[in-house]
Amino acid sequence: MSDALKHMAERVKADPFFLAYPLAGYAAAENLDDPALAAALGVGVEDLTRLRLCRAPRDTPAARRDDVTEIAAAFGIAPTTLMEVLNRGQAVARLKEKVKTADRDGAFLAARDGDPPAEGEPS
Amino acid sequence: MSALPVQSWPSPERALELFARLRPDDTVGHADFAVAFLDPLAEHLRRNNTAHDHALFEAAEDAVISLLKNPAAFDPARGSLQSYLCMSAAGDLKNVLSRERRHHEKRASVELDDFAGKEEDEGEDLPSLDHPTFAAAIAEFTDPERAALELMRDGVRETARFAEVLGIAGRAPREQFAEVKRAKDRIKQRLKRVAEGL
Repeated sequence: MSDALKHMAERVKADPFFLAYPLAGYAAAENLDDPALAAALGVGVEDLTRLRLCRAPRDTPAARRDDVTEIAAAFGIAPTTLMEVLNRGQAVARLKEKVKTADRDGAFLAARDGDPPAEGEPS
Repeated sequence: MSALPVQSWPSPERALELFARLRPDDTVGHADFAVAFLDPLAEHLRRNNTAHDHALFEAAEDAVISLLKNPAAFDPARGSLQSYLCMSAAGDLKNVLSRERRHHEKRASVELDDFAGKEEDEGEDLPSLDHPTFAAAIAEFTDPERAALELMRDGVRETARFAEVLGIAGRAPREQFAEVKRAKDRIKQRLKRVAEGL
């Protein structure tokens, strides 16, 4: 794959429209680099770029099953493995989005940290 | 740009076949479309512009992503898919370059303020990076460090954005915060050392 395609596959990791999004969520949750993610899916590392550029499966259960089956067949992945990876990856990616939003708003860290101790008070 | 041989445009018939697959139920069709069109589009931009690879990639991606998400924007009756993508990408490149120009102007203004000794409540404390020595030093950075530097220069403050490019987005927020701070301090220290040697 070319640099341009790799660049695009990297960029769309943050875009729920693409399969890269749940795959990135799964890789982050499992702390996987590309070779480990490819191994978990049973594909070659060189397949990851094209895989990431697939459209993410639709949301309704029947359509999702069809889409996952189609992707799995195209890349030689076990459908159950792909479904598990995408379900977990999507959940993690959505959670990350929520944390990111809360972090941006300052609410998350503020809630965790509380107020700093006043001068003279033990921390 | 890749050292791979330049990929040629799909034939008009093949282009329309690929375009017809941009349906919600053809998930792999979207990848096949991107694989077929992105490289020739980026190469077309490169031949007709002097912009750097990053801007060319961004523009070509913008055009492809936009069509993947909204295929109805292209009407086959009004011209070829190749022409449509080239025109769309040319417009996107202008946008990318003007966005970059605005960033540079903002950056230059912050750098000027820094050297003038003003308070720096906004932006990062970075010396001017136009000098070739800085370019050489930055070339030694890892990809995540370069991406973090770009965010710093763009005035980004959100920890989550840095965590993303540093590959630590999966860690606990407090850990992310600490690691992002360490990474930013490290980058600033390295650049300051270069500045001191000038």
